[in-house]
Amino acid sequence: MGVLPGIWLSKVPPTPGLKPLTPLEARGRDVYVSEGCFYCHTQQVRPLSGDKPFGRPSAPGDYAYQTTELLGSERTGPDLSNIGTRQSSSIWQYIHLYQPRAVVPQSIMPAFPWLFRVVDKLPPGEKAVPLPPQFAPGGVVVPNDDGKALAAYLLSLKQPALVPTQSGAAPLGPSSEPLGFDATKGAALFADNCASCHGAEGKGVPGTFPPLAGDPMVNAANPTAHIGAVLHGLSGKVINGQKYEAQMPAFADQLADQQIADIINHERSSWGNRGALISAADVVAARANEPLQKQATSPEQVSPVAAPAPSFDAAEGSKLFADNCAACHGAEGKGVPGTFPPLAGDQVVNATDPAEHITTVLRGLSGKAINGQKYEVEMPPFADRLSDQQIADIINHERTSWGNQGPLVTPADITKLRANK
Amino acid sequence: MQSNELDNVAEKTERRMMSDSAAAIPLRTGAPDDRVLARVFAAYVASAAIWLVFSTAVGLLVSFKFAYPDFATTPALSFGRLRAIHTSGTFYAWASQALIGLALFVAARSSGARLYSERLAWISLALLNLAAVLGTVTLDLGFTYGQEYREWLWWIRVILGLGLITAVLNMIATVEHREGEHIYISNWYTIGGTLWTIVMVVVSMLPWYQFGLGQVAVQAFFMHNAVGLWFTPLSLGVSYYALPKLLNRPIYSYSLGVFAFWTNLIFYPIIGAHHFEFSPLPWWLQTTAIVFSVAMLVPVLSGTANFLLTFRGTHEWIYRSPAMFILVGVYGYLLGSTQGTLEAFRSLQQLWHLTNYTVGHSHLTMYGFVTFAIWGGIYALLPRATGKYPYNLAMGIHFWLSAVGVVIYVAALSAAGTIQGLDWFRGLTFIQSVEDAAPYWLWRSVGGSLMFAGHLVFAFNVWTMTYGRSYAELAAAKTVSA
Repeated sequence: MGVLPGIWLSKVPPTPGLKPLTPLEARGRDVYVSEGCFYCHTQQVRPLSGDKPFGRPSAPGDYAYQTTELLGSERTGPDLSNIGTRQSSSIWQYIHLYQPRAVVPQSIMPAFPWLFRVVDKLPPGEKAVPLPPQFAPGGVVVPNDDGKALAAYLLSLKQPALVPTQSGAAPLGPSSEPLGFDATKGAALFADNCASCHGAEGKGVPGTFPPLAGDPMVNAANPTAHIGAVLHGLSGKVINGQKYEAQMPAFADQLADQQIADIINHERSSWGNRGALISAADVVAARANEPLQKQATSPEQVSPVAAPAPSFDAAEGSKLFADNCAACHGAEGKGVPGTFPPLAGDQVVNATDPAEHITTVLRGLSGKAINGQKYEVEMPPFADRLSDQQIADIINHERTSWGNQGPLVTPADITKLRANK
Repeated sequence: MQSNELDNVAEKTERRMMSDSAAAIPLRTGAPDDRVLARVFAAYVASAAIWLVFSTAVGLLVSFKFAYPDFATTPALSFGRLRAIHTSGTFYAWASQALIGLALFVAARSSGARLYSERLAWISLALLNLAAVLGTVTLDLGFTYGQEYREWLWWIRVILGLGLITAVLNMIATVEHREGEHIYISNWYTIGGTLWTIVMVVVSMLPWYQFGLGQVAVQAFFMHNAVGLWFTPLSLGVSYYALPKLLNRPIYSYSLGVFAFWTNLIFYPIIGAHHFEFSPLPWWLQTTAIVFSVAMLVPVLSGTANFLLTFRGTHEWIYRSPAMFILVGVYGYLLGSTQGTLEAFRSLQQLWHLTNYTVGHSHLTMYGFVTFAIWGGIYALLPRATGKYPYNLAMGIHFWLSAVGVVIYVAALSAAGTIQGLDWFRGLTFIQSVEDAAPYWLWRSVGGSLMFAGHLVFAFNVWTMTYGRSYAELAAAKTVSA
């Protein structure tokens, strides 16, 4: 019972998109093991509601490069399967490793000062760890080789995108919920995703993480920049004359539109802030305008309100789907277990970047492994059968049905990728 | 204490007075074989007791780090390293040494044979101690295999394995020279358990099928069987010998014991994957583990019934006997194992898995069951080997400190785990679950302090039963001076 599954499961192929560890990251994993991090931090996200903050449910292929396995048996601290995405700032990781209570006052994690050295003068090529004054040891703190390796390992823990097919896995976000601001949810989401840097009271860490209380962007009437910062992250921004080096992670792929709206509204209505509230629709619009913003030479000049959000003919999309796709994927997008993959809740269908979704419809697929399940049956290419408008309608139907919440596409997107062979 | 035992004490006291050296282990009979057995047994128990005090002192220190995370922030005293020292020390030093010592004694006495080889017994003890010392030092320096309960580096586990192999050879060879044809049931449990454990230690050491998720499957197999195929059968085996001695009556049903033995062997190796429910391990593997976790009720209930029926009608006087330790052990076995079966259900795993509830469960089983059964065995059998009895009061203090301590400990962590699970379930922030569990962690330290105080008393009792002056000797000395 130990040996046979061991032999068999040792050969699970890696999840597509999973990268092997670099030598530095592998050394970091040795530090992680040697300091016993796995006694309090799991690396297994279960398909349960309580595990949602930590990422998508873990797939067998996620562990292909993970020997020593570090799934863990106890979660005194949060799960780290996706910590590289959830907390992508190495500066935060360093401060937190040096003294967890410098960024999370209630934390009971041990401090690891021996992964750092305190020097009088900053050595060339090194970056000082910007500790808050009350935790600074009086000298310049820089990570030593073990500290750097551990941080590199933590930042390498990123879950590649994947389809949750196990029962219990929920679609990315609630779609039927009425728009509106739930103060409790906003506060909880802020605490989970933002407070470890910006502080529970929105005060940030001076010089390292900007305060949100009184921030001009948070209080601005036009929420575009605020939404954009949460969706796509920020780094190196100058706020009130202070340059902030620590990178803020992007939340576009981690949180649903409603969740992002709740967080933003929490920030805009707390600690004396009085910014105009937003709705989930604003976030949807901001997501949809992402390509436009990227193309624009000076994003500040673009007014997203002026740019028309893509729209589509729902009836046409539904009909085209029924004609071309439902035979395999089912009218309800459920697929056939083990043979045709479901589209409801599919990561590609819900991805912010629609490129993979469009390419799949244009060129077809075969032998793709989705959540450890390999689908052998070939999906035909539709490039020669349907027009760009028709493909866009089908894709938009898939992205707005059965709980899916992918941003919409335009026929122009299809044209671009069709040319892009 | 039983009246016939009191007679024994008096009888032994006379014999003791004939011995001239206070440090020498007095003898129950004058036979040299018994002197060897007593010497070996006493050394195993004393060594185990030292490891118990050390490992639980580490455990106590670690528990205070939950309330004071910035206390003793040096690499050698950090939580991540000490936790492994606490678990490995209690598992492979304290409980393993004590159980092997008891098993060797039971093998000889229940077979009416002498210990096959004293030298082999010393080699086993030396190997076990060598592994424990090396394991402790390397873990504290940050060298670890990184798999819970098999943290020791592979070459240290080789030494541990050699200790087990030499010990089981000694047990088998001793039983081989038994008087009758029949092998007493205790030896089935102790020898069987040791053989399975050797297989498991070897299987878990081979590296070539332990990559990624494969290693998870092996770990699931190992971490559960380290308890179920090692500590459980040995504790039960020792109790099957110690309890009839204490109660002066045979075990209720011999065949029920044999039945429990075989069902334990068949069901146990299949249930490890219940430690990884909802993980990416194959769903069928998890389901199989849950099914056989339920099947474990068969050996657990038959074993428990067998012991409780043996106890029947003794409640009038048992509260002054070491049998109380075994009684707690039996209830620890029943509660801990039934709890394990319940925890395996997916509906309850959703709530309790990965929380402190699991830590409460592991202490209910490893402490409430295994450790209490070991104490029962030691208090029952060590005086029979050495002729030195502990102070009844000291034994009682030990009992109550440990029993009350473990109840507080398990209750606190079960509550903490339930609250953590509910917090996650309700979608509260993660840090909220840390704050909500904090008061219960303080109570855990309170329970742990009582338990540790009990271990100090136990160490004193071991001293009086082996190398120190026993209760009987003191009584005798008083008589002389009067």
